[in-house]
Amino acid sequence: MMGTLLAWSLPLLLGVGGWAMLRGWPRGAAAWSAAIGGGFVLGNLATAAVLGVLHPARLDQAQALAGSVVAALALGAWWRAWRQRPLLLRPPLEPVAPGERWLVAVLAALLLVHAIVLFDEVRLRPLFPWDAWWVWSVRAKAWALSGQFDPVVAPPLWLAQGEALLRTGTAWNYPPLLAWLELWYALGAGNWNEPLVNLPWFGLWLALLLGCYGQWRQLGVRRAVAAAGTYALGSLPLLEVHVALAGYADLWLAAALVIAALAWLQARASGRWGDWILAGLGAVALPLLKFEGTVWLLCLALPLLADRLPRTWRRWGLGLAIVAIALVTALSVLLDLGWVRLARDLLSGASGGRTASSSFAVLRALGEGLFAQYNWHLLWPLLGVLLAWRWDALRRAPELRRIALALLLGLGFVVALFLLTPAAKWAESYTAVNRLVLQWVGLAVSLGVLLLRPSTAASGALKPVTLAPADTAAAGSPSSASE
Amino acid sequence: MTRALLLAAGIAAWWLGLLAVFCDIPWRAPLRPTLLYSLPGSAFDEKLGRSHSLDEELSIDAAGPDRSALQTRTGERIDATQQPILHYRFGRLPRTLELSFLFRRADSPDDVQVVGLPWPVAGRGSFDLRRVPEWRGEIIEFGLSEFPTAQSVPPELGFRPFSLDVVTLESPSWQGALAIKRCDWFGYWPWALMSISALGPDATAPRGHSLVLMVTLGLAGSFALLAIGAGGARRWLRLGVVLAALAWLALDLRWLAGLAMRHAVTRELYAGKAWSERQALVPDSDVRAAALAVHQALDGIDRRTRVFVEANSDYNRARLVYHLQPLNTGPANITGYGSEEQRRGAYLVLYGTDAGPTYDASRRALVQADSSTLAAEPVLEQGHLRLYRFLDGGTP
Repeated sequence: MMGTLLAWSLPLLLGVGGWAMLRGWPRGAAAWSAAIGGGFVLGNLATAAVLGVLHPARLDQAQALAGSVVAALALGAWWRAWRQRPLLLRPPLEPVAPGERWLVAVLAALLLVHAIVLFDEVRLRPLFPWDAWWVWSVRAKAWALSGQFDPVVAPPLWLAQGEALLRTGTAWNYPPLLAWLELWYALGAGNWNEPLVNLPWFGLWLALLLGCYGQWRQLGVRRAVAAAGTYALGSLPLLEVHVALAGYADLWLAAALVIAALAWLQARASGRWGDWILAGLGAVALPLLKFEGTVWLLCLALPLLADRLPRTWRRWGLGLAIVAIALVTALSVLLDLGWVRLARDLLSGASGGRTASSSFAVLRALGEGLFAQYNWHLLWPLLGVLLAWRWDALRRAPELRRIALALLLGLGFVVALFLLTPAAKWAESYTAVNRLVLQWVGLAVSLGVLLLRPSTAASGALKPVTLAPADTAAAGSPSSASE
Repeated sequence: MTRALLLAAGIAAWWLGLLAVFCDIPWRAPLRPTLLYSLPGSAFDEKLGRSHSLDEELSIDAAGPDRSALQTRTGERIDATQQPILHYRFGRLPRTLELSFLFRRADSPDDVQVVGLPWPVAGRGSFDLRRVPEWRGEIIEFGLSEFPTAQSVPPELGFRPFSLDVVTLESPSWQGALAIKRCDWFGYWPWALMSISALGPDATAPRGHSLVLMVTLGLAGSFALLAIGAGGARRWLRLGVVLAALAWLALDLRWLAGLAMRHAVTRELYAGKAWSERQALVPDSDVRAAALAVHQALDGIDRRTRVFVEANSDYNRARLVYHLQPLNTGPANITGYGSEEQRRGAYLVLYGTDAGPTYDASRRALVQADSSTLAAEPVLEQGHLRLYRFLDGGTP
């Protein structure tokens, strides 16, 4: 019990402390909501990274060792955050519109019902979905049950192993971050207890909702709109399936992606270095979670970084980006990295795919996934209507145009992947297409919510709600607040 | 006022039209079926499982050896095209069971056609057999089969006694179409491996038109009519937002009800049990039992000893590898069997009768598909499971 408590609290302390250090001491409910949500995601991924990087050969002391490092980092972050906290802790009160309180309460109650069912499902169910035990849990289980943090290698190395034990598996080349995270929670549980290892997915769902709500509010979205957006995001069926049948990486990717994008919006508006770091941390997590995270990193980073370049430099910037991508790709090919092998197998059909029976079949499968299956309620048609309705506002808001472009690049990549490569098989069988879309869904909902922000409609300039000058001076740095 | 009434009538007509299209209601169909052939449960014969007739119902008391039950009705002459709407009513049917409908046609009496059925709502289920291309000609036998839900229910926990009350075949009608949609749109659909990737295609029974798409088109049409027929855009925009919010809420409550039904099965299977009990209750309990047998047989071996794993399907191989942890496993489909030196002292787990190489006792070797041999000795044979230890020797 104590181990599980530590396993949950240390990443949360690290994440929230780090968030408070980088963004400033949270002031008000929205800021705490953003800190707890974002902190949970980044804290967990950072803890997993600490465990994986330390890589203690024997695991009996691993929780203590990695836990000490995480605790020390958390302590440092909280100390620094506390030192730079503003003197005025209460933010200015924001008037609550009539009926708003009721709307928020009803939506929160609906989400609570979802939460109760999801929590109980995860708490009871043994590990269920295929890739979960095929890719990530099989490694974590092997480590947890053997008490040894054995390296996982390619089959030829496994066959040639000498004295040291090496492990292999069908997904030996997948990024290990999620397996490390599962190991962290298994160590906390003291044995291989699948529901306890999977419960962080429920925490992730909560964190995603809290993080988005808090960040939207900090970006100036009205309480009722932010609450409606949170409910819309939290009630998406396929997203909930990834909580109920925990174990896949897609939800972690979705969370990291939306954290990176929203933190970038904050950074762009406030100019704080801490927000840039938060955006960077979210973005860096993407390729560490799953192969496609590398592509998502590019889809996100290119339009967002281009935003900082003066117009005359953009052509050079684009050229430099292409050269950088080419260099990274060449280096990856030389080192025979996992994502290169995956891409090669995917493009050649060696991984079992086949080209599309017809472009229409792929597009139909995509369309069915978005509009006709029971995955997203009415999200995509309503987002389309919202974009059409707020088109002028979108045109006037350069930062939202960047977000929309990143979304377009991501979804465009999904379409191109299935139309042009043997991966078409996984679109037509519906096995992959919706999960790739899931990874972008947090950002899609965020775009819709931010388009409804009053200042977006009025001037197109997206700014965080800023403090009065006196408060800012007290905080020592520009800060944001709401509620 | 007249304009508002016309607008309301137009919107109502649009939704009714959509409902008719999405429920596959033939425009000229009567409200009630004109042809109806109803059989009480007691008219069916048990083919698998143990049952007895009680009044008009057939009480199914126990499953057959393969944990399924089957009831059939023979000697019928039914025109498939005239009576394609199937209704079935059960009593106390546990949600841990899945349903299938089976039939034979006069033109191919040796072929049994099988189609998955939606789970009944409040005991009553309905299905449109026109979705099954094989449902044509003259039907000479039909029946129902019940078995533990594949992929999500441990087979040993699936069965509980229930009763088959009535089975009806009838001609198309509005009433039948709406009953079919009730099962399709508001029924219980169990968790499946596909659920993590797509909701809708994760059902084992063929499903009809999507409720989400109907609501989307309904809203789009309503908005269009409002935009065309109503003045005061701001007012109607607000109404549109309210309509969209209500539609979302309705879809969400429907999803939540479905989720709660799936969760009820999870509770039925796992609630009140410690993890040590729950971990044994998995849908692939046979694969897990095989892995436990291997663990027992290899108890105490050096942890570095390689254990090659091969099975009759990707699923079984991957699950076996998972259950075999923390043994030093290598899925043979990616590792092969290595060189003689590399596999010396290693083990091979084969699961499934047609999995991997076959053992030739006279040569003390496993014979591969290309006739090459791997010197080995049997360690364990138990049902679908075979365990071998590699020896020196063999042919390339």
